[in-house]
Amino acid sequence: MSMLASETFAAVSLAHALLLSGVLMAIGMAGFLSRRNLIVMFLCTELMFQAVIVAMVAFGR
Amino acid sequence: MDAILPYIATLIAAIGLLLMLIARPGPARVGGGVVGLAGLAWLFVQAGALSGGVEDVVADVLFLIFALVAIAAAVQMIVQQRPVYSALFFVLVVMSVCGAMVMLEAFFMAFALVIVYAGAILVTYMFVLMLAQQASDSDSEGEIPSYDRISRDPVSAVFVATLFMAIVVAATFSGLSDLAPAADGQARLDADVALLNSLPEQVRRDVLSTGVDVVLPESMRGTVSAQDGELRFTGVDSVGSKVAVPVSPPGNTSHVGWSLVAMFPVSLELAGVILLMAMFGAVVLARREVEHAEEALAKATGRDDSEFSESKEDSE
Repeated sequence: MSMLASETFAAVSLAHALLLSGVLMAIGMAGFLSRRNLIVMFLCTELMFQAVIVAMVAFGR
Repeated sequence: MDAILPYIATLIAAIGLLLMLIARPGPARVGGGVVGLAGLAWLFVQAGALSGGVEDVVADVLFLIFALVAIAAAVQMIVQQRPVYSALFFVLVVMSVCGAMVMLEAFFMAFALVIVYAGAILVTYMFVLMLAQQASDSDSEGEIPSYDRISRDPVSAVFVATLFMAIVVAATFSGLSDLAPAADGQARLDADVALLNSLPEQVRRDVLSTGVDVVLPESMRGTVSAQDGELRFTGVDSVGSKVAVPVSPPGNTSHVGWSLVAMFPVSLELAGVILLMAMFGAVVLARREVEHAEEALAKATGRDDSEFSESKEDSE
């Protein structure tokens, strides 16, 4: 499966993954600074965690 | 001039986000969304030209679709006035990020994200939201409270986010070529061979399932090697002649599990201990609550404590 996967999916460019991560991080940051509901602010930190995960996976390849 | 284009795209996207944050629901907000998505799409197109042609267009296009859905849902999440909708849009973000993960070959990560985030954490959030809303909605029926309706200083928030995004764009567009090249096929194959040789049981099962006549040695270590770009188990059959059986490469989960156990055992144990402590804490806290409730019940029903203490002694 991984042989097949590395042949099929090896094409997503690192720049795109990093940009996705950066945009998610920026949106999470904007939400954290602009929202006033504590729970939504926590949700925004979760959004920033997602961005970190995407960046780590992108660099890990 | 070309160097400045990504920053212009970032600025357009930021203006779109700002429009969505300050405008009331209606055409202005939709227009902001369109402007923001256009800026982002332009940014991604420029980044695509940066890496000099992609090998597999389908995977890249799928990744871009997932990325745009994730970003649109994330914007909706911070723009929505009702926190419940925010949480639901966050589920959409997690789902599309998982799709992007699959495109990045991180299958285990994708499934773990679905189970942990969409399955567990978001349900907890929804519980908290429902319970908190009940309390705050009792005074104003159906009205969205002012702290959800009016956002706190969206201009400076978008300014900070744009500054951050500009740094990311600068790093991506100028520094990406300085990175070391990714591991090529040979390095991956060598890593697979090393991993399979440290997982003898998996190789044994794999070879047995092929049904080839082969005598498996006591120690399976070092019996897998890469030949002509394929992984093969080399052994001896019952007659005594050499035989090479193709074995399947280790899957994504095998890699994750092996690197957890072999490379980060201390972190794994620490995480386990912390989780155990959290479980103890939950049990202790919950138990105390129940005792209070029983005492309150006893007081409310007017029963004296002697019955309780007797029954306790009996049970002990």
